[in-house]
Amino acid sequence: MGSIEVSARWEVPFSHDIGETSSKFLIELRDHARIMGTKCPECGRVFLPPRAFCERCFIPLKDHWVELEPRGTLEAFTIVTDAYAPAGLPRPPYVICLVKLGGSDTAIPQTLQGLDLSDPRRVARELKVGAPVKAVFKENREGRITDFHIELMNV
Amino acid sequence: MAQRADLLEIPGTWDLPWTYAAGEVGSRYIEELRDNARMMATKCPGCGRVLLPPKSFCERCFVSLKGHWVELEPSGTLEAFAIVTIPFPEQREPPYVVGYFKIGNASTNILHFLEGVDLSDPDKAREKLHIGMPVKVIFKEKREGRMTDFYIVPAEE
Amino acid sequence: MARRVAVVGTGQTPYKTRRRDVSVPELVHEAAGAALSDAQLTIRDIDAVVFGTAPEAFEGVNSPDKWAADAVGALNKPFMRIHTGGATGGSAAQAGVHHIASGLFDVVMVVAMQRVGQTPEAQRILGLIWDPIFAAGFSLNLITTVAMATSINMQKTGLTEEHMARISMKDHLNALNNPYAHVRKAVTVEDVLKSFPLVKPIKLLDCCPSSDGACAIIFASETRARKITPKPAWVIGMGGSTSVTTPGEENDEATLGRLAAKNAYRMAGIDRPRRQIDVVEPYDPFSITEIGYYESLGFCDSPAEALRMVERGFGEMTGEVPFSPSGGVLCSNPIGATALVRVAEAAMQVTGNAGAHQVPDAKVALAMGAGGSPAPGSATFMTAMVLSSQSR
Repeated sequence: MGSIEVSARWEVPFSHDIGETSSKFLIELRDHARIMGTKCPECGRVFLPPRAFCERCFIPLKDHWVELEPRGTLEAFTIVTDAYAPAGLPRPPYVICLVKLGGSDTAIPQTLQGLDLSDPRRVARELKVGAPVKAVFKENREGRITDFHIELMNV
Repeated sequence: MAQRADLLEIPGTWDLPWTYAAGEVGSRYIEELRDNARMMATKCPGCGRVLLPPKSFCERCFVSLKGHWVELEPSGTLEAFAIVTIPFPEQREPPYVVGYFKIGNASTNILHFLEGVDLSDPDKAREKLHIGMPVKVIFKEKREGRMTDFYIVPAEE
Repeated sequence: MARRVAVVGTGQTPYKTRRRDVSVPELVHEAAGAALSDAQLTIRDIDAVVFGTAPEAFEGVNSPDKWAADAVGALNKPFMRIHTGGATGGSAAQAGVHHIASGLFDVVMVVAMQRVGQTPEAQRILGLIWDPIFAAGFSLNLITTVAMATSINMQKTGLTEEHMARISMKDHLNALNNPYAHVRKAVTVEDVLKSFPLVKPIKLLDCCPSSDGACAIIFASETRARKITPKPAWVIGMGGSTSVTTPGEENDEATLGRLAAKNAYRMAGIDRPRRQIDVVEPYDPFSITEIGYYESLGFCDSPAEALRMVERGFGEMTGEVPFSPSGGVLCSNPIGATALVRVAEAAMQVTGNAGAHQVPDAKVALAMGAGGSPAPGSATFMTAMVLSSQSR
């Protein structure tokens, strides 16, 4: 009783306009292999990814770009060992991390590569928050966040 | 307008499968269509309205309608219609007639297509169709437990 | 009302098919910033935020409210999202007023937005709103829904396509005087009648565009409002009502804003709208809707009289009671924001800030909102708000 189910599917394509600020970030990445952030002239915070406005001071940051050194620190990480639903993700195992680069106050999500993941537990024990990291740029960049990835500085 | 080269767009997609529970009342309605070729509705013991599609509660009296079933005659009238000649994404290939139909002694109208109408000249068809014209419900031979287990056609005046 | 509330500032973004230069947070930030500028306040003056947006399937981002929250000043403040389909902006405005009338907050930022341009076809998204068990699969969309209702109306009342075309012509003309309007192109009755027939009798120029845009309004308590601006726009009446008319049944009392307006009028002390209201910003995504409003909002007694009023130009800028001086929803429709824009425009009218589309001497304005649609398993949400240059 009461067991009928109706199936449906939502297949909707989107074209997300990312705006001037995010566009500039990706274009600098693509064309110059440069990582750009914005800096609030009032509170001094440096945003990575760059923001068009400071949410605390509520002022625009369009004229406040800074180039960031492609080096920084590992703020958090997790090693993904099981594949799960969403398509388009790398095949496990892989490492997702949050990193601060070039003295940014905010951390950016990225993938941490160049590690031997045959023993994920060992990697999890050995990786330390605060470890120095660097950004490594692809040869052929497309203007996407995947144009660079993160690697540990001391291997 | 030329697109600015300094403004990027990123494609995205929602590709999501859904499974909707029809509930006790919705399930009975669909089962009756599929197994018995019967059009069933629920009737409110309070206000007496006959609801098609059937509901499990009356939204005016706020009482349960579970168990308050009535069978409807598989015939009725066309109450509203639109002849669609342009394609809408993910919708039926035109031309077709979509409309609302009063079936049996239902107080509410159901949404369905009107089949069996000559649409080679849609403007002529618009003249011929009229609110209140009689229709009949035809059950398909092979029914699957869907709203499309029946179709609606004009009946003789 | 427990405490008097007024609009002290408004902000809008220009409505366009696609605002390619901004992300969602940047779009709403623009509107919020404009409202703060208008009120000469800073974000520190805001006590709480109410955010409105309708189906996020338009943006293609689940819960865009989370993405946008800090862009509208919600950092460390109470925040809630309101969603009533096309009435979202009107409901969000009412929620903002409730915050203050309750005595719990003094200054509230209400922001509403939609990006209808992030997906190729708005009707495809709207096609996902129907009851999945009984209505899905029957190719219903808002254009066919309005086409069906219009055909019946024409049979019953003598409404013609010319009547609808006159409204469309009026709104398009008014939009030329609104720098924010999306569609700014003069059209004649002939142009409307000849425009592409989508689903007869509804033609392209009988319909609203799909717009990206945001609107922000800052509401304040009486004490604060008087300090913030010499010209507050007082909220003297509000009403909301849900219509659950199922096709086939007699229209219930809430249809076409009738009950929402009645409740707003009662609160505002209005018993003769035609005399006491100077301007109306209705929620009319289709040219036919305004005609129905003449009767349902109490400006006349019968649908037949409403048609005579169209013929006489009742709602034109030089008419007895201008409707949609901004060009209305017919010329700009950023769905979740649209009903808030009606409130902003009403506030601009009664404070003399409507620029080139100012209705001379407007003192009392009515703003409507409408969301959802009659269909099996659907409901229509209606909102009404009356603004005045006097606090009563």
